Amino acid sequence: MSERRFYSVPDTRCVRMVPQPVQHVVIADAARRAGGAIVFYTMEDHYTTSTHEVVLKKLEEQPSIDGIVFFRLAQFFHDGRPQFRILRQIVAAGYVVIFARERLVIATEAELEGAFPLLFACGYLEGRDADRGAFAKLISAAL
Amino acid sequence: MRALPLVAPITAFAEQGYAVVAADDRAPLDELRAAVFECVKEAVPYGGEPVVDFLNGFASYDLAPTAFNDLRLRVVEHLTERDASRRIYDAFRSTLSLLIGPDVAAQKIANIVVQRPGDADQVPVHRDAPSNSHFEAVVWVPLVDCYDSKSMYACDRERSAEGVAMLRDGSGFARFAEFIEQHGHDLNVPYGSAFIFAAGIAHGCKVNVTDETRWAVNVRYKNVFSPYGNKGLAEFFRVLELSPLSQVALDFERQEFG
Repeated sequence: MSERRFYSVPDTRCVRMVPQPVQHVVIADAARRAGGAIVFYTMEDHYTTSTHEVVLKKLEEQPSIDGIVFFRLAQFFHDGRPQFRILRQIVAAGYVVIFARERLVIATEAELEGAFPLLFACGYLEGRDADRGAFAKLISAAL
Repeated sequence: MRALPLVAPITAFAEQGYAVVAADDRAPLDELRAAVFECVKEAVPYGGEPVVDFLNGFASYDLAPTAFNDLRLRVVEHLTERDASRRIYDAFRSTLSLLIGPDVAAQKIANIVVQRPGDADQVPVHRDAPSNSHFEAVVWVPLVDCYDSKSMYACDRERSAEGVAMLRDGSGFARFAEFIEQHGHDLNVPYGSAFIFAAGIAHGCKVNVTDETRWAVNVRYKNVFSPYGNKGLAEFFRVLELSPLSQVALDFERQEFG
């Protein structure tokens, strides 16, 4: 069986915390675990991290790949909500979506639907816990 | 705010921050132990012993440290493939559901710790939170009877808090470790039960001076919507169960996403 081919999309927003070469290592490992390798990489511009225009434009070319390996799930959270519609667009086009940090593989629309509770909860927590004192304040107010 | 009425072993947990709990159902533990047995006996010239004798007497198979670590990683993978966190939750469901509530997140990959007699490479005194969240229950499941130095020790919540105060006031880690070891309770945890403790409880283990090997799996559970520490949902935890209300709510939320 031939090796599966993946695009790599490191996270523009966390390069300071996780340098790009480190993201490449983790993404390459995720591609290997999925039975393939990275054949090309691209990154969103600072101004397109919430619209994913760069990667969606690339997919318009209908590349001969099996899927895309993103560095982390949080690339698809915006204002505390998962960007479910964009993920569905990618999966519906026939591409597997992989999140390297979470070791999460979504290959079909049914799998994406099944992952909705996880994606919703993660998006909610990402928004809520960004203000680390928020939960403590909430509890204090309730007591 | 009114506290929930407590039932044993939740009473013990509320008082001490931990409890040794008998399984509601031993079958999932038997399945896990059998899976570990199957995996491990392939790595050594297995002599045909029954599972308990094999695991307790494992030190007689003199594996090199690197081979031993490779084996440990294989067992972790094996446990993950067999959904260890689901099986352990099912085994201790009555206690864990009371501690956590119906919206349950479970650690994706269960750990296994193997402590051979005389092995000086034991885990030092520590607490899981922080950097884990305090809103986590740690479930330590022995695969063989664990007692004396073959087991672990832990301080109750009061002593753990005193230890933390020492770290905070600059007394240093050595003094903290000495205090915890001095006040820690040796735990007698037979197979078929678990030591369930809050992530902030200080614990450790001594050099195993028995002639048996310790095998124990550990896994963490928490409420899906409780605060997370450095180990978050999706990369470290997964959604294991949802309440009927959360399921209905998520169905409504789903409509908003097209």
